[in-house]
Amino acid sequence: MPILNLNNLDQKIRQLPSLSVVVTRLLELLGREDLTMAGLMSMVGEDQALAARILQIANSPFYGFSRHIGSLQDAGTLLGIHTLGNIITAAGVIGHFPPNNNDGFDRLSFWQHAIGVGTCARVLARHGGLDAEIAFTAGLLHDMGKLVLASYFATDFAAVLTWRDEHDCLLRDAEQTVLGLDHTVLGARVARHWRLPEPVVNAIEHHHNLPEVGMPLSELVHVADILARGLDIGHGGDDLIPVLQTRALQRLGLNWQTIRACLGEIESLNAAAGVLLNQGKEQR
Amino acid sequence: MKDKQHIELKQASPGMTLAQDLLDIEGHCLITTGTLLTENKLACLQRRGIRNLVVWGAEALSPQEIATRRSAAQTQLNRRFRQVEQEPTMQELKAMLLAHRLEDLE
Repeated sequence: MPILNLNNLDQKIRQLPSLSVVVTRLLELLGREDLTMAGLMSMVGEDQALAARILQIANSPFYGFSRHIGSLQDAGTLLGIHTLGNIITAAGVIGHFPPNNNDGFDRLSFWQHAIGVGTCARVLARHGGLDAEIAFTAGLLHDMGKLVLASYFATDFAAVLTWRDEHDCLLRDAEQTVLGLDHTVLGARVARHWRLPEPVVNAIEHHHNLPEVGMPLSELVHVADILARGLDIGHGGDDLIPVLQTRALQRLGLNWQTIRACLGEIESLNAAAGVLLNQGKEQR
Repeated sequence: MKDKQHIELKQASPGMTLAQDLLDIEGHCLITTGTLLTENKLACLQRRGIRNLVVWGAEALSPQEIATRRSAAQTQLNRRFRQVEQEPTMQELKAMLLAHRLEDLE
């Protein structure tokens, strides 16, 4: 019997290490009506590593500002609360699962795939008139459940990987067989527990199993995930590709021409987004 | 035949030709494909914080090299799509991706 299963899921999740104190408080603050930039800035300032990371990202070509941003205040003014909130969410979760862990699960390739999905989602969102910032966050975190499995349920995860290799199947099919649940269910429960924004939680949960009711962000991440796999950006634990649900394309108003036209932009932006993984490097 | 090269700005030099529209975060076009990169233009991109761009390679690829790369692109996609070949949507997606890959080798 695996350590993790549907019966003890919530109990096990409550036992997991939380995000850092500052990030947890920031996520709570971001969900509140009385959120102000001043309040946000002063809280971010309490975590120097997070503040440095935000500056690094703001100065990267990912945001393409023409001048160097030297202070957190400038970053806040130029980026705005909405973008800043998304950067904090992304940086907060990446900080919890660093890309350089040596536990047999290639974290760097995982995050490259995650960034690829985030980038695809962002570009497709803009073309479809959806919010590009939250699309990037949702794409980046869509497979969070896999990191939870690899980090905190290593033995179970090893059994899942063995099954996957023996049966040449998708990772989620192996998860379902071995554990009775998959990374979308686990990831969504943990994301909700950590107070990540609800649309992001839904995208984590539904990017493989699209609901009948329209959930644009989930549909977007579904398409972005498949596109990133087709473009061979990173490796999220599968060298197979799931079937694309055509209703996602229809609901998002996308067709092959529009997608094809986005591919160059996606690949360029993806290169710039690698800054999110830089660990304390000086950026110019 | 030439290939597109994805390089960092610091590797770019005057005389190179842009092989892909350079866009900003909003998708607005900064410089179009085919533009000759001059000292001034490169300095301008530097100031804007642009780090990466796509240029036409100076070396022409041999027919054998092109054939090898085409074959590699096809093989990679075949492997990725090996369990979904019977789905029409996935056939269309695969064809689109292959066309995109081969376009880089024109």
